[in-house]
Amino acid sequence: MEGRNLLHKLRVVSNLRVSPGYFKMVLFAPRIAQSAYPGQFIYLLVENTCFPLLRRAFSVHRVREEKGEIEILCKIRGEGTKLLSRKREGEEIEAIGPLGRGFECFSREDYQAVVLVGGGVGIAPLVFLGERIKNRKGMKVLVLIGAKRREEVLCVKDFQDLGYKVEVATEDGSQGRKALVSELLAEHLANAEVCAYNVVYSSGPLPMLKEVARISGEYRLSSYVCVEQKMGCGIGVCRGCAIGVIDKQGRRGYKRVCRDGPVFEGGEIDWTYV
Amino acid sequence: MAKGEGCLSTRLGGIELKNPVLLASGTFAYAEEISQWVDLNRVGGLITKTITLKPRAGNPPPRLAETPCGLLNAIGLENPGIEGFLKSKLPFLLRFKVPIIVSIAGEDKQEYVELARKLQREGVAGLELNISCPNIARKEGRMISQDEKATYSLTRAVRRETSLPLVVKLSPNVGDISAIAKSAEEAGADILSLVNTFLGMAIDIDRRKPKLGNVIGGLSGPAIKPLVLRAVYEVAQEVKIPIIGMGGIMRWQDALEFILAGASAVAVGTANLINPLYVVEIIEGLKGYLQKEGIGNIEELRAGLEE
Repeated sequence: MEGRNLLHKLRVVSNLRVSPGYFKMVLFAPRIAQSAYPGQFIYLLVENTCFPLLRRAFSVHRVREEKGEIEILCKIRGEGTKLLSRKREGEEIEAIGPLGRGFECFSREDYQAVVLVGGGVGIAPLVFLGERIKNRKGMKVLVLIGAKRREEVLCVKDFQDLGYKVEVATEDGSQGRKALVSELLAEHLANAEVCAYNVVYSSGPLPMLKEVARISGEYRLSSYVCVEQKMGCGIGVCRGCAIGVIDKQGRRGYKRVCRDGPVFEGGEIDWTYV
Repeated sequence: MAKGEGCLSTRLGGIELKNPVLLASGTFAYAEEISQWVDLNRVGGLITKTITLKPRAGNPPPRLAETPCGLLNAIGLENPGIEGFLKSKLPFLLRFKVPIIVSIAGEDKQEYVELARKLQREGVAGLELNISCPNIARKEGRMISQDEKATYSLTRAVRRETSLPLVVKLSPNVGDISAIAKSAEEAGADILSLVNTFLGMAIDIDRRKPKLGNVIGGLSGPAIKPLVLRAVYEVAQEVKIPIIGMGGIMRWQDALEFILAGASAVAVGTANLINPLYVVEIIEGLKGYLQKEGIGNIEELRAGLEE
């Protein structure tokens, strides 16, 4: 019955707007804070009624182990996230987690020169990842953040506080370069000396991840992408969150984002239909 | 006064159930993951995810879309095929001391018959004929369960093949569900499952595209409960064989509504996706209700609406 250990009642410690349409919720979740690793998610029951019906999934954004707290970074998208944005300090939310396979490879000692590429609110798990790799000896980290416009550029300061170099691209040019974040990645890899980086970790919308995986592949870099897909059960039962994959022999099939992912190797995903 | 769980025991078309709360097909897969959450020996029975003759990869994503109090799905019967099921899924299911009903779907009558033959074996408590999946390509655009004659003919063919209790799962996407139910009964069905999902659709207005990769899907969840109750209520008056009612059962009160409408058992589906422990709360809730009301056995409540 190990599943039951993943069921929690989490108390809201704080819930603050970070920019128009985005909020950051701090939850008292000692067991999750202790066991989660970057790329895993928690699955929140918004209300104890049948509307919204399904849970809502959020990557663990930051962990404060000493306080037993975790943070999630959310974009208001529909009724579920709107209701969550209104939760007040002291309210309880039922949650399942941590779930999924995250950036399992983040602890690999040989990955010493890392690029983090985040798009929109998808940047959330990369802050947690950035924190976990911070004190590794000889670590070099470049952070590339993409968004449609200035208001949607998130977490710049979080990464700067970690001492990482951050570059921003917006589609409308209202902050940083007027470009797609994948274009920034391509430029950096083109200009870098041979083997300047050894891995790219990315999280954001599928079209962005497709480009990141393609560009990384061109430079023979390992890439790991954290994908988003509408989920049902979150524990691998319903097969609702399928994503197309392609194996080394070229055979196509589907995997479950909630259980086999949400982090996949960039080359593993069948990007044809993205 | 009812004591223990005996008050919930019931017979369902030749299958002994310790309680009338089953897990619905497609909502717990083959029990591997969900058994880490729930003691499956507590539930009345398990109806597996549908098995086909050949493995199926399922439909292109997105496969789910949420609607108010409802869930649209277009999974497309992703499953390992009968050989994979017998080899790697059934042995695990047989660990549990509850009836295992295997849901099957074929592309034609012959495939259903062949599946039934392969499943005539120790440990399988019954077969559920899924003739009502909205998410697979169909001959002439219709499901078998949308046609009285096709329902009769298919049920008859499988009936001849197997001695196992036979459940026929009907579609709500018909004009007169009682007529289809009677066809299945006449052809030799032992039990009816009411109902599969309602055909539905959701559209993303920003992208001006359907939310489901397969465009159309099947609606489940609390949104459909009143529609299914009506079907159970009407069919129960037309047939003599027992009914498993399902559609939006989230709490024990919902289960009781189905029993009062005429169902002999219920199946919990979409609720499993939200919290795998709801099913245990439903069983406990029913037991508590019977004890509080001083009712000896749940069967006393079947079709028990007051005049």
